[in-house]
Order: sequence, then C-alpha cells, then structure tokens
Amino acid sequence: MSWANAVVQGILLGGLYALFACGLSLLFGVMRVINLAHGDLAVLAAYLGVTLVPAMGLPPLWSFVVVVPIFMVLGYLLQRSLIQASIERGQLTTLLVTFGLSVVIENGLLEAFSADSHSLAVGSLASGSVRVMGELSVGYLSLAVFVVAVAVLLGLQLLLSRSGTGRLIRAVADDREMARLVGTNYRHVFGVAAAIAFATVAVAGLAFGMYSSFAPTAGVSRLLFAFEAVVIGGLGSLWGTLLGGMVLGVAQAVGAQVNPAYAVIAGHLVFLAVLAVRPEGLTGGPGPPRRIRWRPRLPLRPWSLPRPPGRLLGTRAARGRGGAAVLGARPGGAPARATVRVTRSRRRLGRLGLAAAVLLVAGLAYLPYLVYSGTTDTLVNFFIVLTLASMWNLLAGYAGLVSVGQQAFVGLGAYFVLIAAQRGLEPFAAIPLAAVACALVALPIAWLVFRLRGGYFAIATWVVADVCQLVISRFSFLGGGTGKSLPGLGGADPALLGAATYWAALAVTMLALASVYLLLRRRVGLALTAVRDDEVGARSLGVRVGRTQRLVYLVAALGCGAAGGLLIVSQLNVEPASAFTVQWSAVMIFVTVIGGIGSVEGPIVGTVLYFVLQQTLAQYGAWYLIVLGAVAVVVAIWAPRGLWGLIADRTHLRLFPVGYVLRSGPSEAATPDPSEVAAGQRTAGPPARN
Amino acid sequence: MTEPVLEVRSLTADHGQLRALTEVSLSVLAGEVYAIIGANGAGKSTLLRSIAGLHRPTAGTVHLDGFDLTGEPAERRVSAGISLVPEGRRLFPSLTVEENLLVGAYRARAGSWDLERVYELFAWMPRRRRQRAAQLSGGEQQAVAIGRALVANPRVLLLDELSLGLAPVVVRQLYELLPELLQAGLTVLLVEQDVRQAVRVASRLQCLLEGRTTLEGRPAELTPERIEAAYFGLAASRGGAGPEGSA
Repeated sequence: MSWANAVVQGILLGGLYALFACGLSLLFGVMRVINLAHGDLAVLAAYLGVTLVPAMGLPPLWSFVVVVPIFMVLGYLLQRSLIQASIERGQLTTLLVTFGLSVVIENGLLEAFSADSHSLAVGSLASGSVRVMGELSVGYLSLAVFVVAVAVLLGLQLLLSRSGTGRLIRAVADDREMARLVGTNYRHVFGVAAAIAFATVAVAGLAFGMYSSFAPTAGVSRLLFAFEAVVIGGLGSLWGTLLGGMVLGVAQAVGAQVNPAYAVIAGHLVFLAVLAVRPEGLTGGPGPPRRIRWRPRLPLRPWSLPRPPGRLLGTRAARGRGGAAVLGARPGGAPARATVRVTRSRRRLGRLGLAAAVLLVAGLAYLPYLVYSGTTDTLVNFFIVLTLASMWNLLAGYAGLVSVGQQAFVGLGAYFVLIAAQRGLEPFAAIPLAAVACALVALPIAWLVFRLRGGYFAIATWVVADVCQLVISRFSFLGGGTGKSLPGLGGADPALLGAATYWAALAVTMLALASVYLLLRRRVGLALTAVRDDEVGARSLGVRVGRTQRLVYLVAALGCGAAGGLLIVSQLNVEPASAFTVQWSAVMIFVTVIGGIGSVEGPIVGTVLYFVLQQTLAQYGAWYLIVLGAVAVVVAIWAPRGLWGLIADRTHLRLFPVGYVLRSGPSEAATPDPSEVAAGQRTAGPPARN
Repeated sequence: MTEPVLEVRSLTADHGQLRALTEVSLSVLAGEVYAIIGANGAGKSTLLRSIAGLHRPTAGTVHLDGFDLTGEPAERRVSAGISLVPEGRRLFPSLTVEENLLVGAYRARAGSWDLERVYELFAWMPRRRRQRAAQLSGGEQQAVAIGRALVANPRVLLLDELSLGLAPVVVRQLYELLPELLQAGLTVLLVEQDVRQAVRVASRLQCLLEGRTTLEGRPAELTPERIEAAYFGLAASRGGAGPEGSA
C-alpha cells in the first residue's frame, strides 16, 4: 500500500512541478527566453511570503494576494529592462543575463537570510489529511497544491486561447515584426507575458514554501525539476507539462520509497531516459527538437584534406560571404574576379612574442623561490579559474555551446584523482589521467545533451552535473556526502608540496591556453567561428558541425577535469557539494563574459579582475559573487565583447591572433588593399550573436 | 482630391553599409493606385517598410495627410492610417483566420471595415474562419492578409508583392478587388515585380533601379520601351526617362 501511496504522492507533487514549469514554458514560447533565474525567483517569492506577509500582520495564505501582484510588476519591469535588452542582443546574452540574475538572487538571499531553511507555516492545512481507502491517505496541502496547479494551468490555457490578451501574446510569439504592423507594441506584450509568467512563478514558489522547507540554494533544483517536467512532457504543451510533472513526481516518490536519497536521482534518470529514447517528449510529435542528420557520402572529407603549408584556405572572392559583398560593391571597377586569400591575422605570434611568452612562463615558474607560499597558493586558484574560464570560453564563445554544467568535470576530475590516489598512484601523475577520464565520460554525455539546443542544452548540462554529484555522493569509499581527504601526499614537505602544486597548476594552465590557441588557429577554429555565426550556412559548406562541437566539448571536459585534479591536490580533500557546485560555472561564465567572450585574451583579463574583486570584497562573504554577477549582466548587455573587446577596439592589440583576414592573392599586388583587410577583420571579428 | 494623402520626400535608407534607397520621393493622391515597379534589389520593399515604419530611414520624411510620421514607430502608424500587407503574407500561423482578423483590428481606426465586411468581400472566409492560418493555401492566405490590413481601416493600404508565389489566376482575382477597395475610399500604394500587372491596375507608376527613381508617370503615357529602359537601367542611352513623364 505504501507503493500506491508513493505513486499518489508523486502525482500530486507533479502538479507543483507543472506549476513551476508553466512559467518557464510561457517565457520560452513567447519570447524564446530560457529563464535560468526561474527557480531562484520562485524561492524569492517564498521568502517574500515568509517575511513580508507576517510583517504586514496577515495570515500566511494572504501571501498569494500580496506576493503575486508584486511579482507581476517585477516581471513586467524586468522584461522591459534587462530581459528585453538581452533579447535584442541574441540568445547567448539572454542566457548570460538570466544566469547572472540567478546567481545574484541566490547569493542575495544567502546574505539576507543566511543558509538556514525556512518554511511557510499554514497550520492545520499542512498536517491534516484525508483517508482515501485503507492506508492510502492524501494530505490536504498536497491536494490543495495540486488543485491550485491544475487551476493555474487551466486558467493559463483559457487566457491564451480565449482572451484578447492571449491572442496578442500568441500573435507576438508567432511574428513580432508583423505584430508591430497591426499596431501592437510587442515589447509591452512581452512585458505582459512576463508578468503572467512571474505570477505563476510566485504561486509556485509560495506553494513550494508551504509544501516543504526551503533555503536560498533551493532555486537550482526548482529550475531543474521545472525543466525536466517540460522536456519529459514535450515542449510547447501545457498539459504535456502537467503529465511531465506527474511522471517526474512519481519517479521521485518511488525513488524515495526505495531510499530517501534516491528521490532526485530517480527523477533525473527518468529525464535522461526520455532524452535518450524520446527527445521530443511524451506528448510531442516528431517535431523540431530532433537534430538534423545529414551526412553526404563523399569520397573526399573536406576536413581531412591535406592542405598546402603556410596558408589555411585558398579561396575565391565569391566564396567568402562578407568579402564577396564588399568586393562586389567596390566602386571604380576593380576586377570582380580578383582572387583573395583568407589568411590568419596579419601578425603571427612572431619570434618576439614566443620569446616573451617563454620568458613569462619561466618567470612564473621561478616564482616559488621568490615569494611566500600564500602568494603561490592564491596563484594556484588563479590558474584554476583561468583554466576553467578558457575552457568555457572555447565552449560558449567559439562553439556556441552555453554549458552551465562544466562543474561536472571539475568534480569528476577531483574524484578521479582521489580514486587513483587511493589505488596508490602519485596524485600529480593522476591529474592527466583524471583529465583523460573526464573526456571519456564526456563522450556519452555529449551524445545525450547535444540533443537539445541553446538554453535547453544549458539546463541539460546542469542536470548532468547534478547527476554526477548525486552518484558520487552514493559511494562510501569516496566519503559519501561528506567527502574524503587525498592520500599519498601526507608525508611531503609543505613548502615543496606547495611549489609542486603551483608548477602543476602553471603547467595545466599553459597547456590549456596553448591548446585553445592552437585549436583556434587550425581549421577547427575557422569551422567553429563559421558555426557560431551561421550554423546552417556552415553546414551547407561542408563543416561537420556535430563533430566539431563534440571535439570542443571533449577538450573542455579535459581541461575542466585537469582543473578539478588541481583543486583536490591544492586542497588535499574533496567533498561533493563544493566540487560540483554551480559556483564553478558562475565563476567561469562571469570571468569570461566580463573579460571578453570570444577572445583568447578575455578570460585572462577576466580572471585578473575576478581576483582583484575577490580580494577586495573578501570580508563581505558572498558579496563578490553578487557584484560579479551584476557586472557580468551589465557587460553582457552593454559591452558584449567584454573588457578585452574594449581594449582591443582602442589599441588594435592582439596577443593571440586567431582571426582571419582577406588578403589580395597572387594576381594582385602583394600589399593588401585596406578595404579588404577591413572586411576580413569584420568577418573574423566579434561574434554575430544570433 | 489634389492634396496628396501620402508623401515621401527625399527618402534615403541603408542596409548596413549598403544604400538601399537614394533620395526617393513620391506623393500618392487620395483614391489612386500608385505602383512601384523595379527589379530585384531595386529598393521597393525597403521603401514600403520605411513608410510602414519597420525600417528607419537615414534621411528624408514620410508624411500622411500632412503630418510627419518619420519618427513614429510602426505600431503607431497603424492608428495613423497606414497598413502594410507584407511580402510573403506573414499571417500569424498559429492563429485562426478569425483571430488573425481580430488582431488586425486591434488598433483599428474608426471606419466602415470590420470582420463582417471582410467576410462579404471573401465569401469563402466565414466557413473557414476557425481554421489555422497555416492550413490555408497561398491565395487564401493572401486574402486573409489583405483582410487583416483592411479591418484596421487604413487611409493608405500598402501592398508588397501581392503576386509573389501565387498562381496567375489567383493573382488576377486579387487584383480584381482593387476597384472595390478604391470605391470604399482607400488609397493604394503597391509594389510589384510583374510590370504588366502594375501597368494594368495603376493610375500612376514609378520605377526604381538600384534605389533611385528612374521613371514616373501615368501608364497610358509611358511606352513599354521606356518602362523597359527604366526597369533595366538602359535609360541613359535612350534618353527617355526625363521628369516630363510625371505629368
């Protein structure tokens, strides 16, 4: 009977998940925005319910009356300001902005309310239950939440399908330019849609607060559950979302019946199974989520052709898109068939640059003999962050893969080193092994998460990271949830150990930077830039998009795994909660965005700034993350190429030239035509964020 | 009826670095059908989009009934009296026929056009008003797109490439509606690639080539040779496209 009870509880819980999910669906359906702050907003609503409403002297149930209107106003304002601005910059920016908001809200709540858990007391409603039959009984509260969820979904459905407002929302979702032509201010309609979505978020957050206790960090799991409900049910269907929520709820309840620790992971596994077997969801038709698989069987593989040394891609003007337009439009009747050569940037990393780099690395390597160990310890952290940021920059800035789950590989890298050390391997020697192991693990993960795109890809990677953390926490020989210290380095001289760690970190970072740089200077780099700017166009020219992106994903896993290995070696112990924390993603994303996404130099600049901020705000707890998140939001919207972009625009400085320029070919004079160089820089310049 | 309803003065518009229109002027009188012709890339659609407010011109003005609309966003020009039937219909695909019309009437001016009258104009429409727009044929979609523009009760109706992708017989049926619309007091500015069609229906026409006006005048006063020359840019050698054409 307890099994039946679990199923019933799970179904009722599914209502709550559907409630969380419908706001996420609405925002995505209307304005293609994946709101990564969704869960944190729900938790914020719960906190408002727990503080504001008692302060006003009202009973807890009044929190719906108070908080929901506040959230509607908040939703409208947020949409008209930050989210609208980010929509106009492209999908990458909306993800960065909502992720920044998520981190700001979560850490703001941590600062305001500490990490303790709260709950919304609703008295008899919480404890009372109605007996259905035998031992099967249903709590009033879960029943009420379920009824509220169904009512909200029904109301939303009616609003969208029957009302004039709903009609306008659907019209704007279909074609916003056309909506302007019938007199609709689509930004206002977006705002109204956001207000409605935020109202559902508030209801969901308050219901959640009554259902269970919550802490500031609960937002992440709310987002993940909402997302899983959407994907399991099938994108774009409200009732599918309810079904998805129920499936997820039942999976969690049944998992919890087996072992309370299995609840979340059971839900994740059902989600991953649906993603693997039926990516369009339970109710979805064979719709667009499936990836196009079109692989011409040609005897020649364009990406493995031997190429002449010294030039990357000999091509006619007519082939390069940007270049051709400029050449065609050039006045004065220049020969339209002028041969141009696409080549790497004007200045290679010359001998001087190489010498400078060698000197710099040698200087850094000598540092342990000069400074106190405190400085090198800080630098180890610096190198870890720089490695992570470079990897994320490669993923998002060049391959267009916005992952919020790279912490999976940080944690796995750390734990792989631990496992190897437990088997008697020297920990430092285990770092490369752990990195390779991470790349191997990334292979099946890539197969799964690459089924989703854009924002859904981002959340899917987050789910995978959560799964990794939960799985690792289950192994008692790895210390379970409390972690384990690293054996094998106990007897070492602390000074020597510190220096060795520092050298290892330096080596890993230099390898990471060098591989990013060299990767981008190869054909892969050109392919990646093409994919990022126009995937369909790149595909039609023979770029093997899937393979290229997979390669980058594996490289990023490798780098993050190595950074995780450094982490455990420098801290000498590891615990799942801190190794797999989403703060790793927050740090790598913010550092890259602030420094300059899409340039090799950006993460370096960003990491320096990050450490300055961290040291300055060290005594204020989580404030540095709040400031960092806020700065990242501002930079993502108003200076999309980051600080390095601002520097490079003014000085034309390129430390790592990976761009391409058009040069006049052998048929013309050897001196490049200025207009062509300009054109080339434009095509190789900042990412077109579509 | 000599006062122009719609007046465009020295309009210049750019697409990035590319100049799409160079100092194009036109004035459309009340109750007439004014046709813009030109080859691909002549700037016809950019002209209509600039008039409708979707494209911000680099220089020049757009006046409706003497009021300067140049700085107004597209959504406010609808209530001023400009409705565009865009290239490729652009119905809201997930909305039904009736919902498309209702959205069209969202910012309607006062006037005689409403859903009933559109349903009278297109007799097949009431039967299928609950169908999704995406399920209609191209010609039917074009009819709904015209209806959606009409229910806003515009002063000037802008028609962009009505014939695009439609069978000739459907195109003819659509153009046969024009007299009825004019009788109802509308003024029509249309863009057409099919020169013969434009010559047949227009009271005046203007030819664009690479963003410049190469010819304007009444169809009856223009010989096919002159139109051809203006259309393909042979005007200079034939010496025919003087301003005397625009009587």
